[in-house]
Amino acid sequence: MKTRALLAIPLALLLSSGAQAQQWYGAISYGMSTPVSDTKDFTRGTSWRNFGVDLVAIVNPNTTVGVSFAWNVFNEVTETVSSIDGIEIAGTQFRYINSLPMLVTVREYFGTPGGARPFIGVGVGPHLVKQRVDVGLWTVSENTWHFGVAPEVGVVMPVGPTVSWFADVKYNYAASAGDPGRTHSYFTFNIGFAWEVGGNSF
Amino acid sequence: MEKRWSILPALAGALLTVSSCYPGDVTNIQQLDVVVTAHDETVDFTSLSTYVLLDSVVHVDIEDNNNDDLLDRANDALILSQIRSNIEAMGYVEEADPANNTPDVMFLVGAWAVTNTNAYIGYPWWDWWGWYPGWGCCGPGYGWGYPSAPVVVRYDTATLVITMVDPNRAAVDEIPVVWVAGMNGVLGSGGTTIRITDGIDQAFDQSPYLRTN
Repeated sequence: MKTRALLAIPLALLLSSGAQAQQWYGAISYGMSTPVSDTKDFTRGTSWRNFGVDLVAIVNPNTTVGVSFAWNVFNEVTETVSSIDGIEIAGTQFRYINSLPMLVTVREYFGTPGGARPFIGVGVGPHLVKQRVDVGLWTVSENTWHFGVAPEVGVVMPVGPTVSWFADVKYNYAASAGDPGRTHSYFTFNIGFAWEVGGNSF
Repeated sequence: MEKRWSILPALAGALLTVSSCYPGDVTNIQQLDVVVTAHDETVDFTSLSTYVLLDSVVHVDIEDNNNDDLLDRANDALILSQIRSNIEAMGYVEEADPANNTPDVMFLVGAWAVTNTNAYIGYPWWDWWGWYPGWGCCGPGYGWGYPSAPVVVRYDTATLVITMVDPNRAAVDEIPVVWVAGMNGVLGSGGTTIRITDGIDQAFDQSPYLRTN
């Protein structure tokens, strides 16, 4: 039973209606990210700076709900000439995106308790996106809040009575925001472990 | 349970240590060089032909400048030569008798070094280029007529600025700037001849609309 909760990947905070006697699990994860769409237009490279924390609660043997926080850092160094309001700027550009999704998650698990269990899930909630360009001595930065969704698939493997390893793939999509409007989207490939953090006293 | 929890802060700390919000460092000083250009989009540059390049690099003493420490005359000839090469590569022909034939455009070359001052434009141009006899327009009361909103930036190093003006379109109290280029970082203590020539070449390379043909 406990291992089912470990299926929940990143960190999360439970917010369940029937929180009285539920088991809680924390999780931390590390991963790599591949940007797509507008995010790729700004920073093309694969990111190796991605961390996540989840706190989840078991709603039933096959379902968890929780909260998930992640920190994904993209960066690129480019020599592109940019045009802003009729002004062309050439120079080495150091581009950064810090994406911080804060999601409420629901995950459904398959397979047999105690063994490896595939799962699917989805997270919804705000994404704080901090986008910045350094050129020479100039810095242009913008912080925007987006509404986002993050479907995921993965598998969890128990390695002890209260600890499990897991791996998952998540697609983060943050809807258009800012001026001009930009979406942010990227895939993250994560590995991590989860552990029991307590019972109904949380 | 105690043991489990004790490892978590250490692990979290390790993860944060290897990460950074803004990874990547400047690996050589040339990565800090910036070339900025702007132009008047209403100007048909193909209608222009003749030019004059004023024969001095003017050290502009704008407020809080650090010119004495960061600027010298060692590269003036190189700067003017490189600019002239690029102008002529764009198809412009130097006016041989500017005192009697006002050229289509004039190029003014200035430099300044400022620490902790927001500046780009806005100094009295007449104080620095008014000595030239071939203006055919414009006087001490004229101000710059820039094509774009002023770019206000913080310069901490020496900056080379090329200003292209059209003396034949001077309006009341305003001398039209049809193109301007600022090269930050190419002068001063870290400046080299390569950085100077690369910066000047880049300014023209990113301004293909200047071509007369």
